[in-house]
Amino acid sequence: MSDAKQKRPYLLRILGTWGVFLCVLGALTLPLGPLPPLGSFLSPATGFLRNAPSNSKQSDPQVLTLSGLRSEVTISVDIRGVPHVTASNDTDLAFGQGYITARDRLWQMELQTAATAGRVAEILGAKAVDFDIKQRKFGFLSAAAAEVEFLQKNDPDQFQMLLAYSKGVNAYIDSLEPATLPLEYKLLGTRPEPWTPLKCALFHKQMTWILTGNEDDFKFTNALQKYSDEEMENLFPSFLAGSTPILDEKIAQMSTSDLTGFNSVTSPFIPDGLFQLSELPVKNKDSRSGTNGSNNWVVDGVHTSHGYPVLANDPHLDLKLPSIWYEIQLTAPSVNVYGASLPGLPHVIIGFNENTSWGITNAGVDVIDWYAMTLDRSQPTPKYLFGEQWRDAEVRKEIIRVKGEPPREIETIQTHLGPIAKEVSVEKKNGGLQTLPIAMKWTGHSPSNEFRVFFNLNRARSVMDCKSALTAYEAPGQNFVLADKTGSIGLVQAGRFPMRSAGFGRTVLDGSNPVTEWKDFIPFSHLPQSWSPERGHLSSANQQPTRMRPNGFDSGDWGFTSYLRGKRIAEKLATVETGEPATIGELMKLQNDVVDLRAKELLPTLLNWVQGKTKSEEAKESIRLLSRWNFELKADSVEAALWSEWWSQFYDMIWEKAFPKPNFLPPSEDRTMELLLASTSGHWPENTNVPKFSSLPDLAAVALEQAVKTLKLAANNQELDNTLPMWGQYRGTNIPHLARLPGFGFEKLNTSGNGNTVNATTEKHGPSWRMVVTWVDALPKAWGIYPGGQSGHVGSVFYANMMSSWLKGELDQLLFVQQGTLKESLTMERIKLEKIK
Amino acid sequence: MKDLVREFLWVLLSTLCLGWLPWWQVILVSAATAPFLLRLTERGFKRRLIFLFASCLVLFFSFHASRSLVANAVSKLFRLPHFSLLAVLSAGCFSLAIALAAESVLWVKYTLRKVGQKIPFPSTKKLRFR
Repeated sequence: MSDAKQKRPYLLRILGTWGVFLCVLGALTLPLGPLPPLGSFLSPATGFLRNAPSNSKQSDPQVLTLSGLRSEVTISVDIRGVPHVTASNDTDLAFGQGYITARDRLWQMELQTAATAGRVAEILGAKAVDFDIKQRKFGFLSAAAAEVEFLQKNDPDQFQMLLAYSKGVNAYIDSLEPATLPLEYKLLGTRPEPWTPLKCALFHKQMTWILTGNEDDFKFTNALQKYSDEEMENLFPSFLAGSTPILDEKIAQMSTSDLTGFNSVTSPFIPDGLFQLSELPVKNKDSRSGTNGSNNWVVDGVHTSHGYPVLANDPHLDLKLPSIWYEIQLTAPSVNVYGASLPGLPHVIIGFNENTSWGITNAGVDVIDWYAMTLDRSQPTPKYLFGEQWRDAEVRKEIIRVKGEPPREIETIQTHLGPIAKEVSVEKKNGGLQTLPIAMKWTGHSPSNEFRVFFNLNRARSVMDCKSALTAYEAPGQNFVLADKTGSIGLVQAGRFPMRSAGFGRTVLDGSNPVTEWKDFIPFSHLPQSWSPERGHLSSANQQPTRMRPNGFDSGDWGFTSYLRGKRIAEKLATVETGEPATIGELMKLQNDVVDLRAKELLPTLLNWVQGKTKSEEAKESIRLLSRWNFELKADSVEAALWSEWWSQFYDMIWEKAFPKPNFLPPSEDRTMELLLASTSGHWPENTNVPKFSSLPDLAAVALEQAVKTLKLAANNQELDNTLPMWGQYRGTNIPHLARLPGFGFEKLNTSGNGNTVNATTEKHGPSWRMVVTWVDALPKAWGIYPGGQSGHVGSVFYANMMSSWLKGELDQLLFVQQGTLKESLTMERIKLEKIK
Repeated sequence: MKDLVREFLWVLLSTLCLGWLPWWQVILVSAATAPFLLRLTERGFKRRLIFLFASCLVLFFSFHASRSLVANAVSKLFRLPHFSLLAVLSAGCFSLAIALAAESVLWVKYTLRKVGQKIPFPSTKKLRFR
């Protein structure tokens, strides 16, 4: 045998070994599709196992020496994971808040602000480029930059607070090594970038957009092309007969004199065809049952059994993990406040101090208008028509960086009405598509100083101090309820709302017509408000604020949710007017109320209609079940699932021809209910696209049969023992991780309620923070809970430790430290931040 | 017997290092110590791989069990029903990488020795490893 032949097997073995070794090395070093490099990720020394914070009590305080402090800051973390930050001055307090918030929530803070700034592609890669382009065109980044500049010029003290907060966040970032980076950074292969005041402002803009962004004007404009003014007024009235506004004439205490200096002409823009809109990718099982729903109420000291006011608040938002809220107590010589803060912003947003308490619900006022622009792009500088003039638009070049790819450059166009936020297609009546540039006018684009407002609220000593602080509040518009320990209460819808005439802002507006421009804003004196009314209670639930609308006060009745929640709360609170004082327990329990007033008001009529019209045995059994039901949407109720699905199907069947998706918005559920109840008196709309009144009972029967089929199928798919699923099983609530990482969130949680009940939990929304505050022997006493936990680290016991109590509707007692430090027995860990000597 | 003890020591060293050092440093340490503790034998690779895997499995299982919150979440991320499977996956990845690193180095050592002794390259069938 020749030498060459002898060598081959030997060489093959050595090359084979090295080849396989290098392949294994490569597989451990390089990311595999969406997975991170497995070597460093699975390694116990550097990987995910390092992201399991100590879950046991720390006996010795951790001492950290950091730059940027003026004096020492102490942080005691209690047994619920809540930090109690104590400092000797306000800026160090902000530093401590920034540090501890970043320690628990850094990745969440970074992703949320990156999303607002349109920088997600830097983290997630090319798949996020379209999202980033959309965000850039909406102008959030430039709005946040303007806000920082505004603060620097007009409120240097608050700017210093933001700087101190940023230094605190950065002190934590600087302490991180690759092995101690939060898990999500390891998964995505990114590193945190330094925090700046701009990011605080971005977070403020994000919250403003979440709570005010509304694009229904396009759908309403489409409807104008199909229906007469009378039909529109019948289907979309400004006020519903049965509605219960936040404030009625007896208790409202704002000025009702006519406003001046606004445009009284609406001038809607009616295109030559329909706006072509896209459907939301995911249809929720109860998407029609209201949207976000927040509640707050307050009962004064005269009407409670223990003689002090009780304030309750449960703001409802998209539920995610880590939670949007972060509990904290902040103590300095000028302040001792406890409550829910937003990771990314200094101060407490909803909470209480020794003397006062405050809670918020979204105002829902329309503060955004869409203008169809006449834009000439043929010139080097694009021009747009406004009145008789062609004005120069400002073009900004923006760079979108993309992970693993070259950056992209885009142009954004600014007009004096707002940025060209989107291009919407119109299907022309004579065929063909036309693309219309649309400018977005939004109060969030203007700089405002909510930092100062919350700084002052945190330090308020009375309801009147709160009122004074809120005069400067602009965005997002909120209904504040207030209480102090002397017994006073108050409610004000605070915000920067444009003065409008009736109907203005419901439709897309003609951007070339100067009469459509906003002129001025409603002064504080005219904003809906009430201070310690005799009846002893105040409440809000995102419904219309008032029927008292002087000229110019049209608060854009488009974003308000169903009045049913507000009505239910008002009904329950009204019992205190009869002389029966309310107890803390009763007012706490009300947050879990799941009586569906829609079912209570409408179900008897519908059951009457379908008697004898259904064919299947299951549908007949369903009628029997529903006729004995108590209208409570409890998780273990089959009837709740039946009613919800039936109403959902029926509602869709009524409007599907008249207002086909996705280009039209049907009349609200509240209006539909009123029309159905009044239909026997001849108020049913006469239109070929709407089912005739006489056919409604048959349609209701078909909807019921269909609902039963859907539910049976769901029970079958879920392999349930019961023939029909219970409400909690059928609807369920999902609380996903912010980046939708499987295993980091919760799916199909067994929850009660819907968007119309006081406990307004839906498939993805719900009470994001529940709080009840009162005083006992002049000391504040409070309870609270939110779905999730204080820590954003999935390996921490505080990641989702509050979830089970939240599901049961229970509240934890909040450990407010009145004086001194937190008791040793209630302390998990102590951290001392020292300045560099 | 002496070889087995040395092999056991090497497995122990590699496993301990894996618990404390970044994974690429573990590869370096294991590969660097291999020529002094291990021999290139017919069945050596398979035996070391099995020992190493078992040892790593104990390490990972204990780590994952003591940090079950994060281990369970990451298991779901990898679509694994339980963290013990993640421990198997981790042990498999690292034991294979470490064993291959040692084997590759042993082959280099063997080659250098043959070259130094000017012995012609034999066929593997005729190799006398020891």
